Amino acid sequence: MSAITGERSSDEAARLETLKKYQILDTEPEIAFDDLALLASHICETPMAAISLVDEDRQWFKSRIGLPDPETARSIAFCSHAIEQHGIFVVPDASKDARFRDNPQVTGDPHIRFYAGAPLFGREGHALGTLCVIDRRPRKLTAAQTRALGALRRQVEAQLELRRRLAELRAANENIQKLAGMMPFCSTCEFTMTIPANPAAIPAVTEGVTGMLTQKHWPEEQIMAIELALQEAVANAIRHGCHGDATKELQCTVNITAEGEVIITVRDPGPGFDPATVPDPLAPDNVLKPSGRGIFLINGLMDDVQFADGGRALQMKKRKA
Amino acid sequence: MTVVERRVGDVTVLDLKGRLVFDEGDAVLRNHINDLVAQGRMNVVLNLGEVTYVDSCGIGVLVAKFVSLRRKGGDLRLVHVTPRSQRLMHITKLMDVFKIFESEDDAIASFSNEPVA
Repeated sequence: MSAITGERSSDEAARLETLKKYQILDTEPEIAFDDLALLASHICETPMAAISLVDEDRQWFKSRIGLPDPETARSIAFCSHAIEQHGIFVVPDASKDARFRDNPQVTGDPHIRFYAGAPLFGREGHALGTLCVIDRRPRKLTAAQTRALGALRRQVEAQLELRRRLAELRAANENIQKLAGMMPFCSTCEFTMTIPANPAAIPAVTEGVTGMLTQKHWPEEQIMAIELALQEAVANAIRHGCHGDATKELQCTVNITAEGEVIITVRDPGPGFDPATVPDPLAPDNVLKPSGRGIFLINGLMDDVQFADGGRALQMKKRKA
Repeated sequence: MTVVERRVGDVTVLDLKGRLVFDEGDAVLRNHINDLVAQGRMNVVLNLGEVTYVDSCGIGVLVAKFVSLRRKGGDLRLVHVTPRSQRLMHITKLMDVFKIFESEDDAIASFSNEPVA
């Protein structure tokens, strides 16, 4: 590669892939970026400033002050050199620098003599472009201006990251909307989950099921009852069926039938138990005991509760009111 | 679940926020009240107004700590119990066991108005 184009990094393909994820090339000007370029030009007292993004064969300006063209060829871009650095890349006098003195931007319009570019790093650590300040006369930046340019660079990076996160959030939300939009039309909805015997997994299961019931327009009171019954069933399976061993797994099947019934089965790999031996928590001797209310609650909250497979499988049903 | 502690005379008010359930809030509350007992602070008011969800384990901790504080001459009293939590206490016949108050001031005052069992 010639001295003019600069040495391209070995992970250039990955860098370009990252740049695409920001979805910023060829977008309209935005005040947030223009403000930061303006501040850079004021603080560094240069007639020109830009936020450039270095694409495969060009540098494109998201914001530019005093620069005539919206993009230039990468082969003549100062920023292409700057993104190879970690710190701020400074060219005090381009006419005396062998890398740039024959550059058409130095010999012709806009007659660059001084250049300082702070690389803009993306989430994956690739330099995507620069925040740069440019002058038509040779000069240097003061220590204070250098620090300020570094601070503004971090603000540009934050704006880029914000933009990418918004795009990611929008895409995730669209997927959720599509799934949720389908729910009311599902006549029968059945799914089976394999859940790690880890209490931290319980909210994802209970909230997922309540979300589905909400989409199917179940009454709130009934949803709350099913949520608690499921919480109790899964907690029991983790505590008693798996003895709190998070490497074990339990199976949970949820079936919302076309007839308006929810049937939930929770199966654990434990030794099982005889439901008839569970003491009545309402008996006077048991009311003040700290445990033993889970199955009693499930029975009270659901319409029908059955144990199978020696107590390893609990099936509970509730009909939509 | 988070617990914020406030002290009003010899009464300790605990503001609970979040889920009082298996492996989330139950241990937090149990340990917090055990620490109070170790400091000799036996009169406790639990503000349940921002408890979004209680399960049988949460109920179990309330009962266990109620019993242990009473045994040591103190008490556990409840304030701002949400309808959802009340329903659970009703089903498990605990509404008559706990002293439940509408206002925090009443709950705190109740400790000085009557001799503690």
